[in-house]
Amino acid sequence: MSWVRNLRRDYGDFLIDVPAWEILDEGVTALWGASGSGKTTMFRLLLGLDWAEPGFAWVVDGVDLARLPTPERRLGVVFQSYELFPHMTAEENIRFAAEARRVSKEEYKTRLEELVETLGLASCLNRIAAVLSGGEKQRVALARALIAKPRLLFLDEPFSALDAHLRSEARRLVRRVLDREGIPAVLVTHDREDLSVFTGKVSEIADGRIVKEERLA
Amino acid sequence: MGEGVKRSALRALPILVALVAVVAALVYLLNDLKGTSSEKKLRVVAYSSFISSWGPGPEIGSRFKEKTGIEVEFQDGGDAGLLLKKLELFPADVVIGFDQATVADAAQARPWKKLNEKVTADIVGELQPRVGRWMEEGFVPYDWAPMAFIYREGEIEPPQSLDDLLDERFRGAIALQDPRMSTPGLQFLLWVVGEYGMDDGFKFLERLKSNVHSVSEGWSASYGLFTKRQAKMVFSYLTSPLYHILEENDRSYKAAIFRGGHVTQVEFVGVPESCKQCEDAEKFVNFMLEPEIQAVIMRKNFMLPVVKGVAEGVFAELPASIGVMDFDKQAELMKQKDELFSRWQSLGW
Amino acid sequence: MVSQRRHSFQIERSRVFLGTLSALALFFPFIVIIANNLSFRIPLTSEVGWVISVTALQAALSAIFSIAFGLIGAFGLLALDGRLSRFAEGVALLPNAGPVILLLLSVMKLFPWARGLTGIIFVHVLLNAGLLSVVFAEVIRTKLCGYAELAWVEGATARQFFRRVALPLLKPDLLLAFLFVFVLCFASFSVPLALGGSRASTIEVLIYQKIRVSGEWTAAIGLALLQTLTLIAFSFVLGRMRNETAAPTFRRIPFLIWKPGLIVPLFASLILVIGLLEGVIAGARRAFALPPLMAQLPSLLAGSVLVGFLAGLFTVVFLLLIAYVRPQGLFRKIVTAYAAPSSVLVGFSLLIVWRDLGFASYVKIALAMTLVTVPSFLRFRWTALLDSLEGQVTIARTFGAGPGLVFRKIVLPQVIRPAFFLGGLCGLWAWGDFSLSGVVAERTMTVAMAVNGLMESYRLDIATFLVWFVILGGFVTLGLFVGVGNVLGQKPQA
Repeated sequence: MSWVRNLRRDYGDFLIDVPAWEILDEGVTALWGASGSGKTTMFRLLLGLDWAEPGFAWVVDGVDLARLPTPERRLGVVFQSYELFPHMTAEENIRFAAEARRVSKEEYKTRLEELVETLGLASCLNRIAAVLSGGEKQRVALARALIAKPRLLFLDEPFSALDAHLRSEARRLVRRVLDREGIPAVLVTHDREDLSVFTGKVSEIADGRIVKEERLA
Repeated sequence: MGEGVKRSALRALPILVALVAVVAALVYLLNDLKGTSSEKKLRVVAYSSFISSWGPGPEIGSRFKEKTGIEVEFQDGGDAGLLLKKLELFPADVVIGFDQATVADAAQARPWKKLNEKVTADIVGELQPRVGRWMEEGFVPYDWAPMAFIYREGEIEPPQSLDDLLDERFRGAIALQDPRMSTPGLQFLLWVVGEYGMDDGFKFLERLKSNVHSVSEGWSASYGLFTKRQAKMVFSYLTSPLYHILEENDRSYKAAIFRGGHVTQVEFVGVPESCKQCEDAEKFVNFMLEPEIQAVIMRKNFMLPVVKGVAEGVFAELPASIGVMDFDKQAELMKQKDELFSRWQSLGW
Repeated sequence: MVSQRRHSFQIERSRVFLGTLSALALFFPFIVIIANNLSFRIPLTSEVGWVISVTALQAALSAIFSIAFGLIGAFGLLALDGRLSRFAEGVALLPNAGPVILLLLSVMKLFPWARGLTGIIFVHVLLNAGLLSVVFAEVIRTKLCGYAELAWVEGATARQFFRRVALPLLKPDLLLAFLFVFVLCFASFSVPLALGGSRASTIEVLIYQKIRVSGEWTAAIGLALLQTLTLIAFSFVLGRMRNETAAPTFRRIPFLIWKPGLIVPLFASLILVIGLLEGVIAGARRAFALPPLMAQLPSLLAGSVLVGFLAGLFTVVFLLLIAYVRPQGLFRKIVTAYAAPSSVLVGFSLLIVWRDLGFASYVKIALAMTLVTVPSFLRFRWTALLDSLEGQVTIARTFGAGPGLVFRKIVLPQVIRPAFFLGGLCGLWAWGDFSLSGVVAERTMTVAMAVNGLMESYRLDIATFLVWFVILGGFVTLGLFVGVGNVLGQKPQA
């Protein structure tokens, strides 16, 4: 596990104040809260897309991620809007991340095969990202985030863009992938249903503070 | 596979053609400009219609070379204000393009050579007393024309004086120019104010408003409105009808001759002190005053020659004496140009 | 010790360097002129204050009406497909090509009532509605189709759709369009003067007057500075919009199609063509009877071809440079708000630093054209386009992708087509320019300059004939650039 310490940021009209928060080594650490609770803000602060006040420390395996710029934190992220590169094929999207992370060609090939199998990407691999369906886009975004074996996978409302009947299928898929990869995840959501398939813990966030924690399943 | 290639080729074809055209243009121009760099060229700066291929410049240049062996290089200096600024950047031997309104600024801006005045005696009668002063400063006139209202015969009864312009028959008929950016426009304003005085002059203009078709930013726009029959009259050069006679074989264009005389446009040539080939420059200026060259200027600029005995044909048919307004008065008025312009603007055309 | 109090995404050195270079290029005219003219004064007279307000008023009204008609025209354009649609778009852009004076003459002939403020606004709308139609058509194509489809299926009325869905979604684009036309009309020159008389005047007129007749350069520069600052202020207030990501496919939903709307883009062109056709045969005959002109024609055409091509090329390069830099924060605001000074001053600034004549003049003209048009492209389209890619760039940088990779693989493929379109547009305008060329060049070097020269010496009909070369040449240049952009931006087949 890793501990987030003294994560603080005062925005004037809003305050994030998390003195201590544990992120599990396995399974999912979920951040659950209503809109406006600060979960997305905290998400961005942890990723490093926004700066936190001095004193923030987050040590993972002896490395303080708080002192590193975002790319060096080696985190995988899937945004709510997926942000696939619309002009590239699914495979090119994934390959881009591998190139950026300097994954060797052989390793890329192996990893790609694994992920294609786990996520069922065979049919959409060579299609342009712009024309993929919502579910396909999500799976490609996941593959892209995982291709370079990140320390942690960050998921921001990953299922909210999907149709209701696809969500449970998607949740199970993400669970399968996480188990297969053995990569812990931080999942931000407002929908409790999302947590029904995962193991780990859920931290309830309100007004920028962690108010309650519970183990999952 | 073949189909796809053929289609891409078809798409690429027009692009290739266009690119070839660009390269061709490049090669053509580089070639065109190649044989033209020698040091001993006489630099003559003038305004664009003078040096254009259908203007007097090229012919003057080639005849000068024939006579003296000196190569002339013409450069476009633009109008007065721009011209002076360009002179700061690009030295010239001869400068053509100042008129009686801008020559004072030019004299102040930089020193000019006092030129050989041997041609004074031949200068046309009306002009002589007016330009003498400027000739002492170093500016030699090379063409001139009175300003007048141009109309088409039969379309309207021409005015015979400034007062006449207020008549009802000219309602919405007169095309004028903005004095702040056009010499004819300035001429008209100075004429009115010179004739009536400052306050009465603007009262006159206020009354004239209903007869004004438009106020354009330049002569060409207003003249265009006139030739396209939008306006029935335009303030232009007395010699304008000559263009229509000579080039279009159209004799319907006439100039309205005023009883009291007209304001006059005189164009000057000068040699700046900073000239590199000053002797050749002086030769060029004298050359411009020779009768055969004056004839070229006359025919291509559609202005009157400054030297006696040159005007012939239709140019000689113009009224012998038309009266000329005082230059010094104009120069005096130009000192108040800020007030003139702001009062003009507040007339709210 | 690495400070924690910083953005995790550092701004890379290459972007800073190239960003500085771009800024220098953008502000170049002012830098040169002020460096050379140390003294300038801003004439804060009541005359200037009044002129600014009149200028702003006509610019604002022109923009509003242009947008309204531009939208209608867009719906007309969307009703067509494929080649017909591209042809119509070309026609829509016609009034923007060639010297404004000819459109003016046509307007004054056909609509003699068009005078004063009404006249100015009328002509500005004629000039810009067509351009906006083309742009809005593209925006609607990419943004609204999905929503329109949904609304249509749900049985919404056109009114409901527009009020609740379309207009709110288009708000950023409409605002940007407003800004674009506003700035264009604010700096307008020949239109206000020909139609407005001296009452409805603009700062640009004042500047020109101070330079041409009075030679008051200090006042002229001061006014240019004032104009640019005013425009920057407006832009800051209005232009804070960020655009959303686009959906690429378009289906012809009844809400978005209205064939009668085609009148808008075609109308202005019709007026222009009528005006140009009149007397063109006589003009052609007289042109052939003017040997010096005919002898000069090949070099004039070559000059225009070169200038048009170079202007387009420089524009593409500059836009791609900015795409690499991806301005952020204050720099982005400045770049979006900045308006180039009067073209006379831009031309002059180039003359000051580069004295060579001959071939160099062609390059200078093209450079000057680029410096004058790129700021409006940045404001109107480019920063918004780059904004829409921010999400993708963020995620790429999360992976650790450097600016080179980000530019090559993500930004470039998505901006290359618009870059070439805008380059082509600049090339089109370069064909029709004579005022800026006149300042920079030392003789008549392009067809447009010859057109102006002919008009200045009675030969309006010959000028009208030559304008057809300008229009043709301009459109071929635009087509060339669009074609190249399409080829380079080709996506692999699915």
